[in-house]
Amino acid sequence: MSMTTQSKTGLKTLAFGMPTPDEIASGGSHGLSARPKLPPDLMSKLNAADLEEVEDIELPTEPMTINMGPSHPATHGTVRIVLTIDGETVRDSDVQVGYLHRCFEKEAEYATYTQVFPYTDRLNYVSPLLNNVGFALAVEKLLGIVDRLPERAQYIRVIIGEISRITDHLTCLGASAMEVGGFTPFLWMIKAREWLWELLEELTGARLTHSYVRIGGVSQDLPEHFIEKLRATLQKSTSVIGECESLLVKNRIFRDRMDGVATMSAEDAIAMGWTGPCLRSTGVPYDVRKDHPYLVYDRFEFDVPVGSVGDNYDRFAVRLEEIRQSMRILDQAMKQIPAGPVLLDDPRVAMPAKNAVYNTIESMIGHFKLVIDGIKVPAGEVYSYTEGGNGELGFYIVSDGTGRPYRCHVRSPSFIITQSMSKLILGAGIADIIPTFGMINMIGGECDR
Amino acid sequence: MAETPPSPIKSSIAAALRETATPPSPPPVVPPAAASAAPAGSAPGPASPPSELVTIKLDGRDVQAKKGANLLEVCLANGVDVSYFCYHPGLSSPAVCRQCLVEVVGQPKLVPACFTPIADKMEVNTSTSRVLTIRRQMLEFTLVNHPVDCPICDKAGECTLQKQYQDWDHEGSRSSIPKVHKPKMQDLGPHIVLDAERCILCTRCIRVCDEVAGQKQLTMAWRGDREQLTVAPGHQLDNPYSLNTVDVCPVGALTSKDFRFTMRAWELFTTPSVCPGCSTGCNVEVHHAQGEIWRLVPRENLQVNKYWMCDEGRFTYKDVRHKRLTSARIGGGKGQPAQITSLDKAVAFAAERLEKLASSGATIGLVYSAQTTNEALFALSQVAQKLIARGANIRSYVTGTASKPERADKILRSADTNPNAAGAALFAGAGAGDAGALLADLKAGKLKGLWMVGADLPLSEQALADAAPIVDGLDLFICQAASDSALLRRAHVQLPAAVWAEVDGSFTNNKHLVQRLRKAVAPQGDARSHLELISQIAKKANLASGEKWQVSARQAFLQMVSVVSSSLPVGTDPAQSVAAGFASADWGKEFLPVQLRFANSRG
Amino acid sequence: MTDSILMFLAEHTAVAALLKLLLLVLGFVMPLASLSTWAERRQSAMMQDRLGPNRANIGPVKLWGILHFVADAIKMMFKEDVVPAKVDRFLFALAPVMAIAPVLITFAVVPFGPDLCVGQVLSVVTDPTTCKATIPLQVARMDVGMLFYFALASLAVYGTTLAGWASYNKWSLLGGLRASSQMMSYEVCMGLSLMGAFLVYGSLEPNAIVTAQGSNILNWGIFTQPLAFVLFFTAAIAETKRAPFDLPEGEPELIGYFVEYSGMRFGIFFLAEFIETIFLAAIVTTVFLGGWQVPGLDSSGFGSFHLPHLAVVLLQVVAWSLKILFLCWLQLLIRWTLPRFRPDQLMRLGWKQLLPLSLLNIIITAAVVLWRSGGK
Ligand code: SF4
Ligand code: SF4
Repeated sequence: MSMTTQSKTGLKTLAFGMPTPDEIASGGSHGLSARPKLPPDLMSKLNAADLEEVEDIELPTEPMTINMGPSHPATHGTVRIVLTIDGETVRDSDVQVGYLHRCFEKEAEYATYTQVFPYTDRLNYVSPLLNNVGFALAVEKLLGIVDRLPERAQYIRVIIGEISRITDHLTCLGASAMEVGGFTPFLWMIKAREWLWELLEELTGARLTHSYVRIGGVSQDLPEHFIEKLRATLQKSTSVIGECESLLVKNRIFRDRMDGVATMSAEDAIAMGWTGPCLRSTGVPYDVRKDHPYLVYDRFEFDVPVGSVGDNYDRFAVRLEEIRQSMRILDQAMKQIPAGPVLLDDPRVAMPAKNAVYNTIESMIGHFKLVIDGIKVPAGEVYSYTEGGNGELGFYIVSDGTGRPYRCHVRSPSFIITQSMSKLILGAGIADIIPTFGMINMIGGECDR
Repeated sequence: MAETPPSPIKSSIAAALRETATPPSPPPVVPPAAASAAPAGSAPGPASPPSELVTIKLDGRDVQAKKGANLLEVCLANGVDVSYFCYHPGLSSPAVCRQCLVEVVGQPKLVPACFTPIADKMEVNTSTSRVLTIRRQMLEFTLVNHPVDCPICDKAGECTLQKQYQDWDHEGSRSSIPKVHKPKMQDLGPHIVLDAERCILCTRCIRVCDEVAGQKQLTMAWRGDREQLTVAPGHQLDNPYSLNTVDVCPVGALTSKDFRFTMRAWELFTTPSVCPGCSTGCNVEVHHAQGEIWRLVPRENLQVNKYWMCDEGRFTYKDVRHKRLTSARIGGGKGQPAQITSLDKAVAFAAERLEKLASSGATIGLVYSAQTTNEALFALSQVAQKLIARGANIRSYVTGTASKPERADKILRSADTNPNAAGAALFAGAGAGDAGALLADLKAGKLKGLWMVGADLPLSEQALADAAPIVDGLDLFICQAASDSALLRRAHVQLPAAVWAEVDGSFTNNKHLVQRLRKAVAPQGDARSHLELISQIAKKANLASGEKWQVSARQAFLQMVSVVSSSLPVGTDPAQSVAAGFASADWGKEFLPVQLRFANSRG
Repeated sequence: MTDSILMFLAEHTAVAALLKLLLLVLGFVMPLASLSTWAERRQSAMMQDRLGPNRANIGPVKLWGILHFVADAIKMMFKEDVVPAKVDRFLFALAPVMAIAPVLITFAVVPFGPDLCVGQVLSVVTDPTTCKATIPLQVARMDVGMLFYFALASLAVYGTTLAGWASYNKWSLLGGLRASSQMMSYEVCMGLSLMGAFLVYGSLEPNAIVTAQGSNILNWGIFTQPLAFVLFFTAAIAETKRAPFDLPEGEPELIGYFVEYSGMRFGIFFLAEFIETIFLAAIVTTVFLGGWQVPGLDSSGFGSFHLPHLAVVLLQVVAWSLKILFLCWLQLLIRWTLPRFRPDQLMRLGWKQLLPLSLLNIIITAAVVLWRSGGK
């Protein structure tokens, strides 16, 4: 078996389909075109005709191009990273997203506004209700009914949104532990997430794909004793999270793996369009809920936790603290929630009562038109943004006056944060790639849409 | 929502729906935005002399229009939505529904817009609270006795009553008096069923019979809340344009026996096309879903069919579904059973024989069927030249289905049942024979080979079966046909052809307008368009390859138009010459089928 | 009858060795390794609030799902054995054998009980050295026993390295590289950390070490050599490539050196890993936990409470087994609690922390031993 071949420069190279120095110098072959881009200094060394210079390096080594994903067992969603590594150090990487593309934006153009909700469930599928709320608010803004939403509906949206944020962060934190080999804290967090999802299931009828929010409110009121159950569940979850924290935060191995890995400066993060916990980990206290309050967020007291150096541990810690803050919001919301209707009483957006639908032609027509033609949204365009699990979740909608969006674009935080991935893992080890990936929490469904 | 300015996007969909192969003349009901985007006053088109223009104030906006024009039409042309039921652009206005009441400053009472001619300096308000209240109350009134039928009503999804209620009303009824019941399933004629409860007494259907079909068959009987539509005693609603009443009926009172309960209207997709029923070439919308056509409805084209089409034409879609030839066959001729084979093999077989025959200098007959598209016929004429160049002796024939003099009238229907007779005659050339000549030549054994593009002959099924054996003397008989027939079964090569609704192309009607067909559904089985079959045979037989017309239907169209119109003096009247019609022909935009529910509520 | 068989065995040591090997490997190690696969999953499930595998059954026999290992074995054996194109077939096939053979062989030096006095099994034996004929409960008694173990253990690295190399896969190559660097680094530390024990007990022969520790618990390695115990245990876990040292197979990173293996070949790697954990437990037991010694149990019984020889031996064998079970369980706990190191951290830990400490341990021990022996 000839594992080595002699290249023109005289270097031995492993015959794994990785480019020879000649090929790298000439821009590469192997169908990867000029992919393995090298840092300029290394490039010049490899370009040098005399090998003495290369031999200055202790052991004459050369970078290897290796493909991580799209079906790597540990990537969130499916993503492909073409790595150029030197030993275990990442010298260059090319992060390729899009493997989970489901045409969300195009599908939305072929569905009525209400029918889009199930698609939004599948954006960030760890916190579907936040997407639901984000989309609903965008359409409501275009309809001009945001200010008229019933109080109770707004509170319910806050409650389910914060529960979803907790589940989102729990998943992310748990995964971070798993990605550095600690499987137990992962399952503990997932256990807590499952309790919350069970509650949401009781509320919406579905564990994951809730489709619970409606334009003008939510589809149904909270079930009996929901608030009490939520309170109990939160208490249980707090203790589980405490356990996980003690297993991780004070764990030397875990800290060694997270501290100082993949740091990001605040300026760079802003320049790269970061939002959400990742941005806050760099020390920028930007939170849509605080800076541009929507729903009833201005009525709650909560803090925006920030990190200092923007490394993986900061991202971990910010999320952990955000769970606590969400619980604080939930606490206040549970106390403040008023009684009342949960859906805006406007025949243009809300379905008439079922009894009336069956018995009067007027309601029958109203129901029929809303279902078949959809809610007629006045022509125009809107950009509406909320704080999703991973950052600013924006919906840009153009309406042509019919019952379905003419164009619907999602500003998905994951997608935008993922563009910095190459920068983050440059110089890190192979072992750091996936934990970093986990901490920026790229959710395939949201990133690839 | 009334304040919402019409969006350009909305109008582009509407415009696309109306778009025709021939440049459409500006319709009276201009789609809201196209007109409002243009400078005010230009709406009626350049033809109207400016001296007759007057200026009125419409909702505080200065609007110019022709003196004496219908106020409702002026409103619609300027993007002001005024609800209405009984008005129809193609019919007279009786102002019976009172839904279009608007306020004219100076008049104590509200006036029906559809019945008010405009005068200079008139001030019209269409959205004051008074008008809106009246509009709501009229709807409440209309709905008072309406049954809760939407789920089982054929019109649901494209119902004007539903649309108006949803756009303007939203209120519940204040009446607690039990609804008046009327007969539910009344047979009005061969094609139509009446549900009297749903009727809102707009009289549109009566006017269609009176004014379009010219036969007074429908009338109103009784009075008050027991008033109902009925046929005149001893009559049936059986005029040849009767199904137009179903189209104009704003509600589901009149339903087509053919369409009812087959498909929900909102699920259908629409593709604009042209009716293949006769040489008038009425513009239609093909309504299809799940790969099948479910109905044809007329599409507005003031030059051809205005808003109407005949009943017979509506049923032409059935031939697309039934009795189709779906796979290629190679036969031994002389009525021996043929073998099903792949299209490629059949084409290769045909091409090989054709090439041999042509170079042997034999006489080959080419049949231009008047049922096929211009593009296919043009392609055939191109191949004919190549065959002649190879040394073959070519005879051309124009055939088609038998004409029916009894169906001709002064309205839409013409005797010639072929949609493309003009085109076929043009491409077959001046010396072409007709079906009679073809049969005579066959009988006399003057032909060695025959290539039929479309196996349509003006013979009854029985007559055709009797006449079929005369092709047995041929050395090669290539037959491209959409459906099975006695003649086809005797061909050596039997090729399945796609029909009008399955291809892109054009027909030339009896006024020499070249009108565009659009592919609505996929061809059945192995069927291919005539154009493609000709192109494949020509390629395999080394007669033509890489020619422009072989690329696509659109390329064929463009080449055809330039070839035909190049030999033509500019400014020739289309009425005089077929070729002149081609000069103004336009392929138009590509069109994605729109689902009716999103086609901006047809209601 | 029994006596004559025992007599025969005492005389024919080769036959006895074979029998003992069979008994040890087939009767103890293999079942325990198989059970560990189930235990690991049950244990992790318990720690993680799950149920874990609890369903496998043969008819009504369910036994909390223990039978899962049978199902596993059947599955592994009947799975398609995929050999990817372009692999080096010979090395590819050799690697799993290289991985499992050394660990199995090293069991030869592990004493699992005291010497059995043939002919006095039912009477009380006060001084075993006086026995006429004995059967040592250890397969091979070699003076270089521990060195033999080190020699063979370092062979195991070839299994993983070859697997990584022969698979013709960049990821498995990386895994193989990690495995070889890791195992070689930690072997040094492992060896050095045991030096102290050798000094204290004055022998390289495992049984001698055990005997030297005696039944006085305070004389056991864990108390005389506490630092060495920690160092050796850590290094040995690294040697078995299990969390937190499972870098060669870290599934979020490399997937592992055996990524291209399937079916029983993969199963062998899997099994080798579990056998290694058992072996690790055996060595730790031998050197630090007094081997087969039971606290307070002399060859004649507990102090003045006399027991027949056979009972004493049995008790000691059982104690040995329990110690091993405990250590296996301890490893499971560690494995499911700690996250994984990164390669550079692993190297730093091995060379910069464990190694100096073990050297220090040797120096101190040597000094103490020298001092206690009065400088002679
Ligand atoms: S006519 Fe219109 S409103 Fe009446 S039942 Fe039919 S769909 Fe409904
Ligand atoms: S049947 Fe239809 S078109 Fe005729 S009057 Fe009644 S509602 Fe009008």
